[in-house]
Amino acid sequence: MLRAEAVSGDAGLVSRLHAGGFRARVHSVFQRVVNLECATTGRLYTLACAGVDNAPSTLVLDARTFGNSGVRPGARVECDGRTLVSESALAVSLARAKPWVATLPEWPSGDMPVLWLRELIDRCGTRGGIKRGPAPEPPYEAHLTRRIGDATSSLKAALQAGELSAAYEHGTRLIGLGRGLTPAGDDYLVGLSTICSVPGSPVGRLRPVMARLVRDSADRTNDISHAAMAHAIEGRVRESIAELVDAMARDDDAGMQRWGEQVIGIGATSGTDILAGMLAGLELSEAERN
Amino acid sequence: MPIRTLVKKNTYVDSVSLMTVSSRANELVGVHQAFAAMGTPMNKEVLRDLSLLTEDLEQADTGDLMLVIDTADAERSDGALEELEALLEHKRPAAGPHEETTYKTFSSAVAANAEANLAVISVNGAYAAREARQALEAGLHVLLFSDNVAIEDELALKRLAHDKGLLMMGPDCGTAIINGVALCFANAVRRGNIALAGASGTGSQEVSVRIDALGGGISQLIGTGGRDLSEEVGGLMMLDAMRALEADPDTAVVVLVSKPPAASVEAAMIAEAARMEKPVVVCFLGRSDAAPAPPGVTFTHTTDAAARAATRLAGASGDRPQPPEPDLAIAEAARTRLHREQRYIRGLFCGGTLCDEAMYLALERHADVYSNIQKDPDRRLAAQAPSRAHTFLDLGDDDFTNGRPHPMIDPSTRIARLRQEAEDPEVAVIAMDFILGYGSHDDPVGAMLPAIADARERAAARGRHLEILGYVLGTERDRPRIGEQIDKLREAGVSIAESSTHLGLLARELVAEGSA
Repeated sequence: MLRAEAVSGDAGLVSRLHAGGFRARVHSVFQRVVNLECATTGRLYTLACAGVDNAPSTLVLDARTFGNSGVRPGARVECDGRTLVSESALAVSLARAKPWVATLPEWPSGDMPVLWLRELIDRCGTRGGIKRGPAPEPPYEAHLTRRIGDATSSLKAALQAGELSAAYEHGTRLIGLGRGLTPAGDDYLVGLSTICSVPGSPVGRLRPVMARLVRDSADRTNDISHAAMAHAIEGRVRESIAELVDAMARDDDAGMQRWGEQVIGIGATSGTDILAGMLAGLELSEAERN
Repeated sequence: MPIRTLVKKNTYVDSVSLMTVSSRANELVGVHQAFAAMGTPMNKEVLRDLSLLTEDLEQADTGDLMLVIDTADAERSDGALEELEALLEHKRPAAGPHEETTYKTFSSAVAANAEANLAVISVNGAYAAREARQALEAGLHVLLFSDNVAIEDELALKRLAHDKGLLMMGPDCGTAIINGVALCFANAVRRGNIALAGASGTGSQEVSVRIDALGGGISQLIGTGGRDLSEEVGGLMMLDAMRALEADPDTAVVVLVSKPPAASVEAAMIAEAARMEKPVVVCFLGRSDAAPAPPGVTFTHTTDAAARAATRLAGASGDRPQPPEPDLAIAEAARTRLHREQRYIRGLFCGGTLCDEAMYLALERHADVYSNIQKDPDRRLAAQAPSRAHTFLDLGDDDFTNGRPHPMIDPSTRIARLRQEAEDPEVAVIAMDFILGYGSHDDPVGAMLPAIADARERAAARGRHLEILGYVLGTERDRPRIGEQIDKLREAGVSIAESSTHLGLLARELVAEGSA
């Protein structure tokens, strides 16, 4: 049995688990992450290994890997308020779980560093999602890249023009589009939603259409990716993304570099795709302010 | 165009694995294109555009994984789909010994290698502490190759590692062998029951290859970084290494290797060594304290003696004779060819500890010994200063490597200095080390031979014989092999020392007459 200790976790989740009576089933198992599906609400929660950053609905453990732990999809999960247990494979003590709250900063009075973010993506971004892969690509990849490019530029143009119905349509064409577990289109929308959700954001008025887009898309992508989008539009994002936005708002060069690189490290191309969505949000904000 | 598809129900595979599998599948023989993607409506639309959407793919749900393979001919399609599935089953196909995967960030490397438990960090010193802290926080042991890390950061990192029960090797740690895996500059030595904990990289390498030559083997080689035994750091890593080696079931004997530690730190190390149940050999080069060793501890003052003591204590027998004393006939023969004014040694070293050892041995006989790493400030030379009397230069020291590669990789600094020394009519012998092993130059002797020939020709043109004394640090399992490198040196007329210690002894013997 893998015995672990929860180090930190989303404050809401920690509080819910401490209340006891939590029941779930294991939704999916990865090397460093296990997703749980709540038996009563159907919501997804995540158990993550050490080194994975805090995130909405996530509990970070001191464990190094779930590989060979015996935790299996479909297994029952229960929590009595002190220990979360999955059959005979996993026992997580909650005694020292430090509550964490995702907080986005206020929009700054000055500009956000659009140029820096564009350069970061150019310099360090991973190709294969929003950022084009090295040519020549196989026909499927080439067509996928073309469709992602068309949909993102059309969405951005429609949002800038204030054509919200068209934006909704173009956004729908992005959801579930891409190869990864969280498709590139979804990740891009996470980034864009993040910028829309920053308190005082010049593009805050776009939040309702983005929220509707996400709300209506539950059957267009997988549960895990949809949950990330649903959290982002509420301003609930991974710690590295929140810290990056905070560093950009404070014009903190070292913080921007540190957290920017951390975000790029998310998934395969997911981090870069999220940054591309954030860049689109910043560009729209800049256009809005001018 | 034969297309085979497979839908795996409710299958969630992380993005990194999914992308890797797709990329690998596209490289399979006879495959036009292959991909793995979630069964979302938009992904199915892309397939429809390309006339690849089959009936079963049409039925795929958003939580299902779609596998599609398009092969050159029908016969290949079944096999290719099986290979794609196999790739997926193994998620990240095991990298072969010569394959590399590049990650742009530390966190992505950690995420993709959940089974990794050690990080080797070699970045600009300004960022090194941050990366090392991140690795320790993620539960990884750290080998920090970078130098120019603030001492406060070193202390904080070592304390953090200690609290977490992890090894913090470095900063400025150039070598380690952990459970048989050589890291950074290390040699291909046989495995055995002798462990080294070293605050000096090339010193540890030297002891490890001597043990190998004497028939022993290495269980672990834990580098601590050059400043670990300073007053400020207090030997934090050395103490942790000693405790780890005491608990290591593969280790029977422990050897501590360092340049002279701070006095208080040395006392703490010896006290800890005396507490250990396993025998400990202490080789602190240049140590002048004549106090007797406590029970269970053996003091040695050369790397060669340390290797011999450890091999004896470990019960290993030599597989080829290793004379404890150098062949003094080499020195006698060379002396007969020298002019009266040729009185001095010039040591041009890649290895700092090898330089130290030769220098300390020279100091036992001569007073006028200068070096860029001399402790006596009156006899310390700046990098650009011309040599004086007996001069031993550590060309790997920061003064020489600032903005340049280490001489173990790039011989240009040593070539230039060799030319200068050859012009000096008072020089009798030039002593040089050639360090083999992982990370080193792929032909360190070959890279120096033209310069050696040129130096000797210049001296000969002025009617002088210039003695070149070489030592090759390595094993027959290193690439290139030690024997091959020694043969090249001998063919070029270079005299060969059998060890770092012998190099120092022979050099000082060569100038025994007529020197200051």
